Amino acid sequence: MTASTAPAASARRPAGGAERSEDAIPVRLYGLRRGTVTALTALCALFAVFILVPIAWIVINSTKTQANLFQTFGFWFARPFAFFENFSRLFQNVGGDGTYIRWFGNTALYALLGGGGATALCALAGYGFARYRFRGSQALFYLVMAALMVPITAITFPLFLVYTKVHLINSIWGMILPSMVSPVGMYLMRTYVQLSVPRELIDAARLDGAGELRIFFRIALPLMVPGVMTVLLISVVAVWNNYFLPLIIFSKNDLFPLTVGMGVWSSQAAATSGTDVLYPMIVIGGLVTIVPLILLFLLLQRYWRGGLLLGSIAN
Amino acid sequence: MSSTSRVRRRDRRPRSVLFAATGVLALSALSACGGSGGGGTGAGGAAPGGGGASPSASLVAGASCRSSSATKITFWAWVPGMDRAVNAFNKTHPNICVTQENPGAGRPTYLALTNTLKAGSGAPDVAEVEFAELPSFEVQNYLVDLSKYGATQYQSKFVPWAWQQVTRGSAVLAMPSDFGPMAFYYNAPLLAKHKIKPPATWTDFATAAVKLHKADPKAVLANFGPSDLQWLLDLMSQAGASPFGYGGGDQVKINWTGPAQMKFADFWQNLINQKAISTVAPNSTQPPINRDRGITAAGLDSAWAPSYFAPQAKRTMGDWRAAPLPQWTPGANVQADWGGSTYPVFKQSKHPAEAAQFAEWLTASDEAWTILKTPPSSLFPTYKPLLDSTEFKSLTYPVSGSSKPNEVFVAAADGLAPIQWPPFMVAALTQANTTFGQVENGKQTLRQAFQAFQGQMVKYAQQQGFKVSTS
Amino acid sequence: MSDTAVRTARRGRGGGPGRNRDRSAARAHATRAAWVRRRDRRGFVFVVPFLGAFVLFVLVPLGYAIYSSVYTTRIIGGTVFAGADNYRQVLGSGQFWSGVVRVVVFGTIQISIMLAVAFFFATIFDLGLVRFGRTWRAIFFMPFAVPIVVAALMWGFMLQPQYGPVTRLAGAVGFQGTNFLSDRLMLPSIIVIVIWEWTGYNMVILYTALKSVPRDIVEAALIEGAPIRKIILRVKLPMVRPAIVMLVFLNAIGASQLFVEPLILNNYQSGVITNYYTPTYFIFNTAIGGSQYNMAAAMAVILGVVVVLISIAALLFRRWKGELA
Repeated sequence: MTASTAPAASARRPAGGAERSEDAIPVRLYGLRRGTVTALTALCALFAVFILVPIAWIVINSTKTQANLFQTFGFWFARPFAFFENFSRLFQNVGGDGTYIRWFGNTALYALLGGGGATALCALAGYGFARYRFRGSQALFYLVMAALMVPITAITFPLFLVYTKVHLINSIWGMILPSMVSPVGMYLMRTYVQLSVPRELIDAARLDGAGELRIFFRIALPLMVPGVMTVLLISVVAVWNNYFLPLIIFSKNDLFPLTVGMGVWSSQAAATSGTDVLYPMIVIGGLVTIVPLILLFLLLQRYWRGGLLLGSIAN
Repeated sequence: MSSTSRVRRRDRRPRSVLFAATGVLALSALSACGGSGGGGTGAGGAAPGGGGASPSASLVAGASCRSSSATKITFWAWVPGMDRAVNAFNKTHPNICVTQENPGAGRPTYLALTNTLKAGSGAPDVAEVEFAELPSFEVQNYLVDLSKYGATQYQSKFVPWAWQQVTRGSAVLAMPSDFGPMAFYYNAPLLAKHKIKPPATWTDFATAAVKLHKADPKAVLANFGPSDLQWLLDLMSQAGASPFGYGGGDQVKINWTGPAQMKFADFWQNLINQKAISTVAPNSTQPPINRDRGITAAGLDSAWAPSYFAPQAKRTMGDWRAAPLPQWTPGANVQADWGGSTYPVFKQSKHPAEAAQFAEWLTASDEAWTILKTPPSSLFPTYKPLLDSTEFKSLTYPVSGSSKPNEVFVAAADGLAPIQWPPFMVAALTQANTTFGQVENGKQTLRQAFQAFQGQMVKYAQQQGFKVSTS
Repeated sequence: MSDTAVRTARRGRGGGPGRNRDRSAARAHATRAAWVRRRDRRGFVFVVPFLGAFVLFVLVPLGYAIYSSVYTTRIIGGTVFAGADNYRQVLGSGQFWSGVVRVVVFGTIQISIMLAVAFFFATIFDLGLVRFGRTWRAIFFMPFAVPIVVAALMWGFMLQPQYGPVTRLAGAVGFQGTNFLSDRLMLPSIIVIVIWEWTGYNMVILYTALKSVPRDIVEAALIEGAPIRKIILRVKLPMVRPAIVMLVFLNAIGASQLFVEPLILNNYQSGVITNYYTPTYFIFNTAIGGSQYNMAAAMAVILGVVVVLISIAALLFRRWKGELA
């Protein structure tokens, strides 16, 4: 999950057996008792079981009919095998044609525009705060950081009230624009710029007569890419996960993102006491919701710099 | 969710009600949304004022309009298959063009209605509103008196109880559509095995419950889930213990602690104490499973039960029969209704006459009911010409085998007890979730919960500026 | 394009009010040339888009919350000025404070356990003490890909009192009739769910932080013969303490906003998740359920103040401890 070590660095030692990266200190130097590595690996396996159980559950149960979902043991398969039937219903008719697809598209749109926008704003602002001292820059930075402490609800709910005045209820911009504000992302970007974009480089470029924006785009930005990717990942996941804001600002179900849609399915299924055939939809829908994010991780994991950013606050 | 219980009555339909046809345009709209989202799907033109309504609102019907000069009416409803009726209306009424949108079943619709009505723009001309929620819109003075548009002439076409629900004095607040008379809906082989007959009175019901539980300690006669407030209020109305009274204006009666209410509470608490009935969360997955497993032998159900229990039935398919609700006085005929919808016209409408015409057609015409009685809407009509037809009464359902449950449900429609709803129903439902959840949880007795709820409701009503009487 | 923007920025700088009052900046950079100061002001251009969005979508709603919290809107009688009435009611509401206490208890337990577990695994991965470390890290990180709503739904199914497979397994090993969603076990269950959701994410952050600790420091300690436990606690831990502090802070903010898990689990078990189970859930029910928007705004403001106060107290405590040390 990290790129901070050299790629393909897991040269295994026959003696220690554990995964080693090139620059790591050989395990034998630690003076540990024999079997420690095995015991710790077993602990990892144990925790991995805890992590994988719900995932296994959702995979297994995506193959079940509604009756079997409740009447057979949840950690094992049951006949009939209904995966394809469930899956195809996501795309056909869940009371409303293509509802799930619509939600999926909405979520992708909100995550892309909101997360992408957040990353862009954070990159600009992080760079600005890290490499410029203008009047009030410190005060502004701390103001933004203080806002981190204000609970999202304290903002989201009044935002809803403001929206009713400016007609942003049931508008996708009402969802996307606030998603672009990420104080954490800005903080991370500022830290990353301080670490990875040397002042000397900027000064040299200035001596060469480059404009400030040109310096940012041509020199700083390429150096910031891993940090930008980290913030992008965090922002996209934040929007993908966002439940409260869309829940209260959208009242039309074809604007819902997946989270709200799934939540509504859940309460709807509960409201009809399970007499509806919604539960298999919730399970398969949940499974399909998870997949794109896992793919995104695999795609972006080599850029992941989260810990580096937080760890370097000491500087 | 706190107020889901409200959603349920009207929504027990096969397939997902919630997503009542999000729209013929849903798929094509997806591409539009990928592009700009703000670009809209073409539904925007139909939203008067445009304010609260998004350009990409779900357009489920209305594409069938012929004339571009037709009067545009916006209509919100979540009943699946409603678009068929809208299209039929547009076809036969070339001067009116109705566009249907679906903000989601129950709470989402009421929230959107409240917001747009308060904001002064963006509300639909006509919307689906449950019986229980109608006073909440009436009190804000949002509803058009349909008697101005000839609604009164349809009075004789409706079940008297339904007509009484939608009228205030001479004013007609909405057109009634469907409803759900209640019955004792039971697993016939299971009760037969224990030699229990459908109880004629509540005393018989209590006896039967105790007897069944003694014979089979795992089994209960019924589930009692008071956190489903509408259901609770319906049963209380049958007992003559209706706790709310509202006759319009700023006066509201709240009485959960009178002798009738306490008698009702003690009756059920007695059965709870003996474990002769269960108190499983009514809005969870458990009740239907318990029924199918032979744990719960019967339910105090609504007319939709035969169609809505079906997907969950496996072992007990075909075993379920309907019998009239038990009576508090032997030989009496006092029935209860659980749920149903109405169609009011809102004052924000620029075309109230056309909107009223549509609402009246939708609820009081053979044409509309020919469509709405069939799946996926499968509405149980307050419209007497259909309700009283032999064809409707003799419908059979797989869950009920060869029996004709509608005979019982239709008969119940004649004896429905009057009931009044508080003009702040959403708040009451939200509070009920917590207060009556304590009863299901065994932490409080029903009596204690009634007393607590009394205090909570009085406080809320007073905060909202109502004059509250408690007797 | 960029050149135009820079020119615009320059013009903006020239016309900026109070150029000469820029004392604090001047003090801070007394050694710098004046042209550097002027140039640095161009940096404002970079932060303007962010600040604009920040003002519109954070400060404006916050201001509106404060404004609307001193009014009350009634069904009968409309909107009237209420002064501190809403605040008085919320501050005197046992339900509101019970929710606050609940999330404090929740946060304390959940964050401690989670960070301990995350630090443990991050350390053994960092030291290379396990086989297949890369695989474990990938697995542990997976829940981060699961939206909280979906996670809560899955756990709700698994813990469901009647057919939930976890419940049935518990029954099979001697804990018959255990209801993981009962009054007593609901909060522990939520803690487990949240730990499941976030441990991997925290672990990966700590892991990369540990990786950035220079190798020679550790080697030096080893050569001096320090045992591994000491190296972890005396060398590694202090180096990543800032990361841990930041994680505590972020997780605490997350805990104060506990909302989705109770909302979803309420569908599986009634009577346990009260309307006021957590402050955020209470705000939601007051506003959407009770139509008491002004009261909800007052709650949001008070919750914000409580979080800020707790954060300040934590900062002061750290400084105080730092001075003692």
